Amino acid sequence: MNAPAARTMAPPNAAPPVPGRVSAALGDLADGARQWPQWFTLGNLEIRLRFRRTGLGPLWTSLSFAVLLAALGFVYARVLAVDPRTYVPYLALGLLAWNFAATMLQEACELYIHAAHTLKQLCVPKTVFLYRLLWRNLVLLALNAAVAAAALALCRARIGPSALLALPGLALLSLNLLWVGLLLALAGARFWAASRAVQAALPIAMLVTPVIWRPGTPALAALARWNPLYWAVELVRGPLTGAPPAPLAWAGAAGAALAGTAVALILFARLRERLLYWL
Amino acid sequence: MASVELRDVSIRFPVYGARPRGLGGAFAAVGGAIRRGGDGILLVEALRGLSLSLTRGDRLGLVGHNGAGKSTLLRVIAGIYPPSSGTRRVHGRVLSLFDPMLGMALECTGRENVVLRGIYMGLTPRQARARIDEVADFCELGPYMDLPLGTWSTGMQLRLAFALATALDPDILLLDEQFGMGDAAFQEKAEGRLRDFVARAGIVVQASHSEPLIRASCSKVLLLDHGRAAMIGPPDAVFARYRAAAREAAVAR
Repeated sequence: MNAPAARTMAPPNAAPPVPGRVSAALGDLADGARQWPQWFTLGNLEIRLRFRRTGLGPLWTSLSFAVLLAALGFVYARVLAVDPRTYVPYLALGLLAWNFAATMLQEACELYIHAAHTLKQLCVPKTVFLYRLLWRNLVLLALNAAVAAAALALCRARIGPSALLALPGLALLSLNLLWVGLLLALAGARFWAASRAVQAALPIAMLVTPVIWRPGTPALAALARWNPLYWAVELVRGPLTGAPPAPLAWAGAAGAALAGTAVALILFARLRERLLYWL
Repeated sequence: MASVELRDVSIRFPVYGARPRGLGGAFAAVGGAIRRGGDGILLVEALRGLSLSLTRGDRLGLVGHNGAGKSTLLRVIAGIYPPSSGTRRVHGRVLSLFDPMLGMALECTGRENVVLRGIYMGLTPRQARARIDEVADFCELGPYMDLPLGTWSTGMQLRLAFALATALDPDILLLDEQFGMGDAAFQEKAEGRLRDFVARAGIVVQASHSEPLIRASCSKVLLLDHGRAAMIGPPDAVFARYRAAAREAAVAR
């Protein structure tokens, strides 16, 4: 008598009501942030372990970035027939922002696949791993930024007070990378091909995005205008090359962060409970 | 107040990337039932309609054949697998000890690992650092605490893992299988510490194939059979039933 009644109230496959799931997802976001010692310490440790017993340690990142910058700067300043003094700072800042965003997107795809062992041992907020990914890439960004700063100094680039806008630009870029990263991490856990797809797409995306070249002709400018990755790079590069993004670009980036976070949150709320079953 | 309340909990794992030949509904001596879901995806039913209620002071042992659902049940209580259906209500701080080496880095020193593991377990770096000396004393690893874990023997690593895991005070303690505890001298010391640790916890759930271990530490035993609760009760009655079932299975073969 009792059992069928209970079944009507809670059918066997019923998921929790939607508001409950959204607040659980928000709780995950907040708990993950609150556990900063975990993502801060483990993010730093990952960098240390990646470069252990290599002599220079994490400075290898800076060194390889410096070599890349010198090689590309030397060749492309001639290929494009432009003045290295203005080209190299543009290239340095573009590569800096691009490497940060691209690494983050690539690594996000396998975030939960690599975290599977830990996730099956402990009940931890799923976003801890996302924050850890962002933190690790911010540290690597800082190491490369020192090289970019040296390149700017060598080229005697003039930097005005508007250069400070690069900091809110980086913050806005990071927020956007967080929601895209969360979506990629969820997609990557369910569809293991996602990582391959992103890996194949990123080099192409770099070539069609103004990182090495400038959108000089009207056709190229139109191509750039509809490329979100161009705006992502410009958030950091623009202010430091004396051309901060227009107010509309800031509004667009902020709008994308808000709308994207909302979409990612809804999907996260729906899929968070399924995640462990995929791993 | 520590409590665990599971009602009619089922866990069904979807199987991706496998194309079995007409397995739906097949029966095996081990594992949960394999069935086909509504969308044609293969499902392994690790737990089926399981209800369980534990309150402060309960010491529950989990027994059953390989794949009976012991580890899955521990993970449901820990909050790792949300139930596919049914409800789970757990109050109190849960500590799950499944993989003794979780969160330990072989490249880091013993001291660094104490902090690492502590952070994984939810301590702040400061709280974790405060435990280094106590743990180092207990392990008797002396100067090795300043060497990378990779230079230690497996037994020494397990000593550290054990000392670390038992340095916390959870309300609900979940143990999978037996903790390896090193050599004879350490084992004696470790058993005392484990007893204290278990005694401090409000609720303990322990999965094991070792009857003496379960008898020594549990007041109640749950026998799992293909993901279902076959019997729950005092150790004597449950083990009698478990052995009878095992004999039957052997005769059937």
